[in-house]
Amino acid sequence: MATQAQGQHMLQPQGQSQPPGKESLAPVLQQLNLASLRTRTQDLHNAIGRILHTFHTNPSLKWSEVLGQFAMVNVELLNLIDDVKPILKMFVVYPKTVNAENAPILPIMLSSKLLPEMEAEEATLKDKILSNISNFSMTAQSENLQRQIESVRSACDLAEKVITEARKVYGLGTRQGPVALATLDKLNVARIAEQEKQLRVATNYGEGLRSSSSEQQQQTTVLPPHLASVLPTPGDGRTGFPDGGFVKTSAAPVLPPTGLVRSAATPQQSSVPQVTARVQTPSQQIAAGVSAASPSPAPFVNSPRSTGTNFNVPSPQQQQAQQSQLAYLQKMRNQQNLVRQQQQQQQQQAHLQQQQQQQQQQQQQQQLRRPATPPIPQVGVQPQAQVAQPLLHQQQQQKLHHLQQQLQQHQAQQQQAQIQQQLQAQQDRHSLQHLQAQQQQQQNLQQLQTASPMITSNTLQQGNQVRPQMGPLANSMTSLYGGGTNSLLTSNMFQQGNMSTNQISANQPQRNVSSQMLTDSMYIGAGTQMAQGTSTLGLPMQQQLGNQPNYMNMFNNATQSNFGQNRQQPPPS
Amino acid sequence: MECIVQGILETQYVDALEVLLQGLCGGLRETLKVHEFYLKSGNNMGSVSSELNLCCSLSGPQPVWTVRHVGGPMRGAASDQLSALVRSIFEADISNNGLRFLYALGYKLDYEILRTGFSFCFQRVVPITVKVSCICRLPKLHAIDEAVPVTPTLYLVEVFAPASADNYAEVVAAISSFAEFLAPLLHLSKPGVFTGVVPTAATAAASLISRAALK
Repeated sequence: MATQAQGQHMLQPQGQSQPPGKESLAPVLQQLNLASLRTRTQDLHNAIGRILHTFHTNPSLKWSEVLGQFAMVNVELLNLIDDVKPILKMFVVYPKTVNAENAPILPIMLSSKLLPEMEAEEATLKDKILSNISNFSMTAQSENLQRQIESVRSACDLAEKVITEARKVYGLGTRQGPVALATLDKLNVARIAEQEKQLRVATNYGEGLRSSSSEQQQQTTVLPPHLASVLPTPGDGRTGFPDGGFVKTSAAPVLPPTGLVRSAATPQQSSVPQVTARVQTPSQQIAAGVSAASPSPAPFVNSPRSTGTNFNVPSPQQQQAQQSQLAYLQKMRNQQNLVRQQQQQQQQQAHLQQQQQQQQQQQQQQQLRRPATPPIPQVGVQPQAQVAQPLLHQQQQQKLHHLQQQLQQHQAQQQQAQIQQQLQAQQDRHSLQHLQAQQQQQQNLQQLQTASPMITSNTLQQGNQVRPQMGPLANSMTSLYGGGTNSLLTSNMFQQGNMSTNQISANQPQRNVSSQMLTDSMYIGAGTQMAQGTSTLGLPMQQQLGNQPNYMNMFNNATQSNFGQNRQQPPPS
Repeated sequence: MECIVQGILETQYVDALEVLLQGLCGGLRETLKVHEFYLKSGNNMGSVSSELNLCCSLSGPQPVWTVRHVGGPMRGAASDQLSALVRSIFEADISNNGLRFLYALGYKLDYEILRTGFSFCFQRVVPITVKVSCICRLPKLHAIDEAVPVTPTLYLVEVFAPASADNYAEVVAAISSFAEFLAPLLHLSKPGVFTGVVPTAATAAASLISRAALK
């Protein structure tokens, strides 16, 4: 306020040194109501002080609050000024004394001369206006000027009226902000609502996006590139492949699908590295680790289905190769497990078929040529197909059964060796990764073991000898799974019975193996207990909320710069 | 778990929304072009059917495949008061033969869509992602080039952020406070709640697009 800013000035009635017109001042002074003015000014001062204080202390301010407070203060100030202005017209302020503080600015404040630039502007304006009519008389000149003033004033009034009307239409005039408009007519609203419903149900539930399967199957389309390499061609047989309903592809060339197992007469470079090169590096390592004598991509002669043998039992060579690769495998994510298992099974099958090649060469020549098959060699799929093979001779069947038994015995011994290896490795490392590797491999083996009774469906005569052998092996597997205590208990029980079983099972080498495995499982059980204690650490953290430094400040600054309609211009795009 | 809200915006105002998001989110714009397969499990996988969403992102030089499982939303009185939907979600990367693999498991293709648009990601309490996309249907199987928008005049806007069981309330608050910034252009709500368009969208878009110098 002017009066407060200039400290030493005095309020004095206009005119003479004495106050002669005091009577005329009385109504004005009544109008002034100095006391209320003073309190209002003081309140305003306090309010501004409070607002400044909140600016300094409150970190989370919103623009809406700040603008509201500013509006309040502004209104109050304007009211004060409106009240004081008529009174101030009656008074003039002049400095009572001159001192060091106001000496420099006093002459400027008291002067009434315009600044030089302003003077020059005014001079030019005057010349422009008066040059036209300077010839006329004074009254004419004044009338002319009056008319000009009138025209300008009317133009301004009209413009102001138009602006206020437009503001009312758009709701911008009031201090409360824009009012909700009904600019959208009902037709538009209805149309938009209907489309919105369509869009939302389509995104969230898929309504309206499903077409009937018959339509789909009649359309042959060219697959986009990211699918062409993934989906099978229609030439691949459908016999064992539970495809998803609408799979129809074009004649685009397709890499052999993962897991296709083909055996051949001659050991050449395997198709497995070709396939897995597309998929993942650890599988490549498996393929590389597998011995060089692996089947070639000869077309489906001697395919898994045609032999009808039990090729799911892993060979000893393969097991050792796998173990060396497992440590690396565990660094991949768990969702890759099933794919990897498939590949392992394929390679095992490949090896087994190679071993059975000599027996089956006759069969190859007699074999009918089969259409190209893309078997995903799941254990559950192929045995069913094998059972349906009508072309096997019984001699070959028996040979295969013998081989199968031998392989199973081999397997049992290999499991023992494997478990000892695992024990040593565990004692060395005690890492969760290794445990998971074991579990995974045991999963593989357990799957194979549980599947092997299915595969031997055409060998039921000799199956009875197979299954009891599976029993203790399966038990040992589950005990290794089931946690430390279980294995400790079972191993204790079996330990006491060890001596007896050793005597009884003289002619059953499998039982020996099982008992030894169970004693080993006692040690392994302790290891699993310890390892399981650390299992929680190994779990991948799905999402980690990062630390939360004071992002609010940063964001508030950003919004303050944006919200106040000082938007940066978007970059030219 | 994630918190998500959805909204719709007319196609003519999408540029304005992009300008606004660029100003708010710091310019980390990513183009979206995702081919999504919605797979449903067959009968061989148990009595309860499950659904998976396999997404192939075609915006980069190589297609990137991810698989998602969208769980059910959180229910209860507390969830009704929240302004965003909280649901469990699991997402993982998968190799490019994921589709074959899932078919082999027994999943069947329920429907597929192509999603084109852009997305912004920024950090405010939690990483919040805003996706503005046009949902297109594929009239022929897997024919991406013939994609037709489901609603040519409307775009879908999704704002979501990851959450956990103990901080979802804060995440919802962060999302709703961000949604206030977008209020002049569009109205965001839980998926499944119809909102309509906002009447101030036209004026807000005009002011965002205008390149007049401000004094």
